Amino acid sequence: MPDSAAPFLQPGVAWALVVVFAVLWIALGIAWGRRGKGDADDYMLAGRNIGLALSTATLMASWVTGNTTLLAPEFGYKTGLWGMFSYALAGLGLILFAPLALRIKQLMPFGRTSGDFIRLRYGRPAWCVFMVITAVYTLGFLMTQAMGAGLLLQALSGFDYHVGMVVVLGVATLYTLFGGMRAVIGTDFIQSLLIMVLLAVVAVLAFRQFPMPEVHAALSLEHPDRLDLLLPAGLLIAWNSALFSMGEVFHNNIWWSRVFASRRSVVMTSFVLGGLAWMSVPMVTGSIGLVALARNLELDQINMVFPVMAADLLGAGGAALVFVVVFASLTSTLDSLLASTADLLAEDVYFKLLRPQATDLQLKQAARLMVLGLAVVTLALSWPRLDSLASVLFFTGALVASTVWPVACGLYWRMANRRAAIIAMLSGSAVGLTAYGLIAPYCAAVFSAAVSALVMVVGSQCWPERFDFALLKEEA
Amino acid sequence: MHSAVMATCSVDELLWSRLIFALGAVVTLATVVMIVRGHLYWQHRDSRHAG
Repeated sequence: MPDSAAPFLQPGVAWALVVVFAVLWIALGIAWGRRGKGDADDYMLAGRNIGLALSTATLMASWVTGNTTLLAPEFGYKTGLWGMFSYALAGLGLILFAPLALRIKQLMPFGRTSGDFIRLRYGRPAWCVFMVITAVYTLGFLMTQAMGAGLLLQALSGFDYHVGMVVVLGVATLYTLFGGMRAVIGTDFIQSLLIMVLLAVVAVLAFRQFPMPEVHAALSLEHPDRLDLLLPAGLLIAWNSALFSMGEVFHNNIWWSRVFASRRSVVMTSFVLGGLAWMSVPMVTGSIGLVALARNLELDQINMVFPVMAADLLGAGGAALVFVVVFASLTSTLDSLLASTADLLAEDVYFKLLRPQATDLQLKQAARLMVLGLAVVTLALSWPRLDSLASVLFFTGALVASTVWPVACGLYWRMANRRAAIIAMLSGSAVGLTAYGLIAPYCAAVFSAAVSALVMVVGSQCWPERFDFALLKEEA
Repeated sequence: MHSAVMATCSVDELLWSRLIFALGAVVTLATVVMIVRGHLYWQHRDSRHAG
């Protein structure tokens, strides 16, 4: 949206909403952070005692980003049914991680990070490759969320790009800094409820005014290609979302830290439920995109289809609802990224690599400093405004999809070979990036995962290891 | 699809899309099968050891 375009929400109302929710998140974060024993495990993993409701809600909230509420309707609007379904397929990442989560909990009851696993399972060289991949992905993800915050708040309420970015990143950093994982999980619970309820309100209103048969009839008449399940662009995107999401979830410490933080009895169920709950979000927002298309709604910018529809249905109230959903989506993702990446750096780099003799208190302080440092780095990298966030995100897909098979095989196969794991990650990333440049950005993850899987299977069959899984438990 | 590969091949866009779709389906399915087999194997083994 051009800077001069009229915002959906008056800046005064938007500021009032920001202040209310910022005070609420920070106060709750500080209050929840005071609970527990106050040691490093408590700060980094919320005491390892999270139950089913909190665990499911935090998974769902962390996976709902600004993209889920704004990009999914755009996919529905531009590529029709396949766009909507393929975005929803990203929920497979969480659902397929469920059995792996149970296995991780069994093998590493005292583990802290995904880096711990790679180092113990495949050795330090594989850990180095893995850390480079996770660093590129995490920085890309942090940047897209911070930039998304600036762009979205500007489009929705007329905030200056930098002000919007600083506000959202600042709020998420403050309560994560003071409350650690306990604050992240607690606020995620409220944010997930807000997102689900508000989206349901918009969807019910949309389909009451424009029933599905009418939408279908209008689309069949004017945009039959959007109902075509053989639409080339839709076919290309389809499995990429699933494999990209598996790569994101399988390797990233956001999801590993949730495994370590949850009780063993709930960990598998919470990932399945979190994935299913998440899938409903792009399905709902994507179908709103189809409604907008059927109504021939005029759009200055396609990624604003959801706010335009909400404002059209509910007036200023609708714009306020969208603002709250977007604010909750962004803070719930940023807090998780900051907390889990800080844990990864504090545990794997500071504690395991630089200062193995560090005390529990020093480790906790290091995690806090990492949260602050990451926020500053994200702010600096996101300061120059980029408008092509999707291309940054798809670029990382080529890298993370190469970790799917090394991670899963490492958990299940004794024979999984450490050299094969390294070559799988490197060759998968290289081929994925080539496909990104030569074919299309949204098929990079497919090629990356395919090559990585092939290398992992052939390498482990030809040169099998006899790994002792007890090593993960003892050393962790 | 904006591809150098496409430009040099006579294969049409829809066929390319279908091939990539098929590759994605195969890789996804193989990943699902590997995870389910691994999960069932270790569940069965752990319950036998516990018994």
